[in-house]
Amino acid sequence: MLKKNWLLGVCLGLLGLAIGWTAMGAVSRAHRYIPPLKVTGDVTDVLTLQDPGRLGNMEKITFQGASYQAVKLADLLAKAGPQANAGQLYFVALDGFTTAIKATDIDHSYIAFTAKNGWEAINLLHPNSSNIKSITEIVVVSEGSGEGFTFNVLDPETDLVKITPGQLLTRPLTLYPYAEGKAVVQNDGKDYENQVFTKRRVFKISDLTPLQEGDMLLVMGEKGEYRLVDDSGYFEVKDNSINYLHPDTRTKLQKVQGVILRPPAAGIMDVYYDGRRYLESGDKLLVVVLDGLTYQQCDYAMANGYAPFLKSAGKATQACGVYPREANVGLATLLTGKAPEENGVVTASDHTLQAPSIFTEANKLNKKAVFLDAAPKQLDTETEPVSISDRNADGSADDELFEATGATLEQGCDLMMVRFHAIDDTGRRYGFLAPETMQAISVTDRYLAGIVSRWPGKVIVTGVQGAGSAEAAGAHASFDSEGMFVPYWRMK
Amino acid sequence: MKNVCKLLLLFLALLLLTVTVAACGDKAQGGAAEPGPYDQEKIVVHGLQEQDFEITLADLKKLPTITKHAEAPRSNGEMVIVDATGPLLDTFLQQYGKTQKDFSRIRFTAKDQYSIAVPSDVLANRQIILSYINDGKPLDEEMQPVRIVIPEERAMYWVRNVARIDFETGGDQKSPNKVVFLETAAKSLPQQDYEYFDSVDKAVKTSDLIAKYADINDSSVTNVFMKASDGLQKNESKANFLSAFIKITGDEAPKFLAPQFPQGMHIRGLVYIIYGQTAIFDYAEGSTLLSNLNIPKQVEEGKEGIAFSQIFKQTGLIGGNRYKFISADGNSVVLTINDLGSGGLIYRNAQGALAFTCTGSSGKKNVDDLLAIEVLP
Repeated sequence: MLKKNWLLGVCLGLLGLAIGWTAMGAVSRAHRYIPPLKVTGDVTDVLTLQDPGRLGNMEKITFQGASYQAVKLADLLAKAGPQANAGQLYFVALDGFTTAIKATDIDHSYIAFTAKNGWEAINLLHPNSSNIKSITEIVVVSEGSGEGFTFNVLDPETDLVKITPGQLLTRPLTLYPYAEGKAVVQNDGKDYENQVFTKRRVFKISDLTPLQEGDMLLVMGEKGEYRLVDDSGYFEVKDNSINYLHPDTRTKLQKVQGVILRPPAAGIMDVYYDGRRYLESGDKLLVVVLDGLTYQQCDYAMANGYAPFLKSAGKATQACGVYPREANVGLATLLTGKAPEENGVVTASDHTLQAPSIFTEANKLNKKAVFLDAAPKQLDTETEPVSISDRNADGSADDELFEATGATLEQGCDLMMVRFHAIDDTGRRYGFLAPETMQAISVTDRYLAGIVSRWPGKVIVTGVQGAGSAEAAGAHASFDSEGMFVPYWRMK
Repeated sequence: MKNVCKLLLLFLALLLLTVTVAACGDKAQGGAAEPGPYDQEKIVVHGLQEQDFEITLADLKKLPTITKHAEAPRSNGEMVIVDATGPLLDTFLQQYGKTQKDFSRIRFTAKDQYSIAVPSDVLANRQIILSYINDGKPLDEEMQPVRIVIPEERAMYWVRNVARIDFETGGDQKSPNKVVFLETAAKSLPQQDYEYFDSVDKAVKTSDLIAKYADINDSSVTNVFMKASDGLQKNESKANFLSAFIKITGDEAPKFLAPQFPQGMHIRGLVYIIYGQTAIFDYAEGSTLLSNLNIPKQVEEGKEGIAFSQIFKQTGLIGGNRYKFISADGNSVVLTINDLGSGGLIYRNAQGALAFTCTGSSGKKNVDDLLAIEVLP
């Protein structure tokens, strides 16, 4: 009995100790300020560390005669998820002192927190000047660039700049006081005011590449934003992404993917505006959409004899596509004349249009509309697409689509949209300029010749970005001059 | 020993219960737009009508709501994150024929006298939610009855415990006090050929239009507001606006456009432009807009046209006691409210030019080739 009571006493004692320990820990944490340490730059997840207890596996190390509880820098880095190949790690101290080490040489590098020195880098094998105290940031800087987190600047001809947030953070940036607003509180009948600013690390496009007077910039964001602006706004390097800010108009675009300098005025949105105009003028309209056909690819095909019909139609207008580069996103944009952020189709899984489409306009005007599609249905449109299947199992439904288009032409309609798909399929499988892809363009060109010659009205032929060519190149949905422009023709 | 074990179990169960209750303590009662204990809490509204008036949370609950995700950083790097549900301020203002853009500032004041004035640039570019549900739950007591949430702005604007809303029209933003008629104005501007599909139409530069008829150096102008007869409304940046054209003949005229703009930025059937304190109004498209709105045409002495008051209503001009009517030849006449009588009419005369007529206390007044109307102090 005595032994049992003794055991119970020990149990209760341990329980009390555990509760006390937890409570003391909470109290202790509540009264201790730990400055944040940010792991930022070219990482998937920006880490803000304020609790040394949550760093992960702590190791006891001895350095210059002192012992530390520290976490391996490599473990910390792995937690943040470096993008592409991490090349350099920059340790930035409170006073701006910065040191960089190679990201591949961190087997004996640690981060510790001490009450005296705050966050501290301990690089056992590096020169002593790498061991800096009061670190506020570790900036991961990748070598080269990778899709998805690279900031791209291009013009209609070429890619001008590819730079990552981490690389930008190592360049000279302007610290811009962005006015947030003014607050006031009334005390004893008197107003006490304060103005609020946030200091932001910004740059202008002209800091990266030369601009000419009056150059316009087309800024595209991760969520389908599409804004034509001048160079008076700023690009902010914010952790692992780039944002666009315009202090006067308070325009803010998060996670900018790229900027097109001197963009062509034409865009795939023109299908909607041109189409509406033709229909309102009483014209019949045929719209041929060539999935995956880009401007450079078409140029190459025409120059090398793969597209005689398109070549005979005259030089194509270079038209801007949109970002993200997904087939349904591009299709929704050309149908509605609105950027993805406005039409509601921003990802491959979005199917509902939140803006009127060219089919809405046709309905308003009591026009008969038909939509024939060689690809599976991707969008909910007022005119239900007729999905054409690959009956002869030759790997493409385009031949069946050509037949179906001929039959529909006989029946007559006011608006006919026809969407060929083989160029995108082939491009994805073989590559952007591969002979097989050129062959697919050649076949489609023959179909076009057959259809357009029989159409009794206006014709629009346009490419629309698929993700295909980018995937073939080993990347996905890249923002580059090869993929961001499509050819556009108005015929008859 | 059994009793002691039971005691220990009971102690642990109580501990668990305490922890559970503590964790659930901030869960609110009730659901979206359901009646709640704060429904009769009053918010004073100033500046919207002649007299201050009060609204209650119950009033706001009757309005259509939206839910928006909003995030704002604190200075310590923490994020204030909320899914805010409630009516938009614009939805509330719609009941009074106003939008938030009609005001130079809107000040929200909390019960503890904290207040913040939301400036015109925020009003012009952001949605303001009068939220009473946050993250799917009614507001905590210290936020009742309403918490302002402005997505994309700092949390300093997110006033909780709102007790008063002041709508201000003075300050840095001034309402238009002059209307210029585009049809007349364009005649005296350089016109150039503009290739538009298969035709060549005439266009004027917006910079010429503004330089001649408005204050192009007005540094307070950052956005230019435009409205079309199909109801489309758009703010364009000053730089973009001044680099463009207005096509004044042919299809879809008057049309705001520029060769360098995507077609999505073009505006066809332009009714009016607000540039600072000047409204530029197109009579023909104004007539179409009014017809689309089922507002009957005004008829005076057999002449059909747009009522003088409609020009004010559409463009947001603030009325005055005296008005200066200016002809294209530079002649002008100043008329008082009494001179205007029943209001006056803007119409097209036999020569196709715009004209104004009214019959008031001083008899009949006519202005031919009407270029502009200025509100005099």
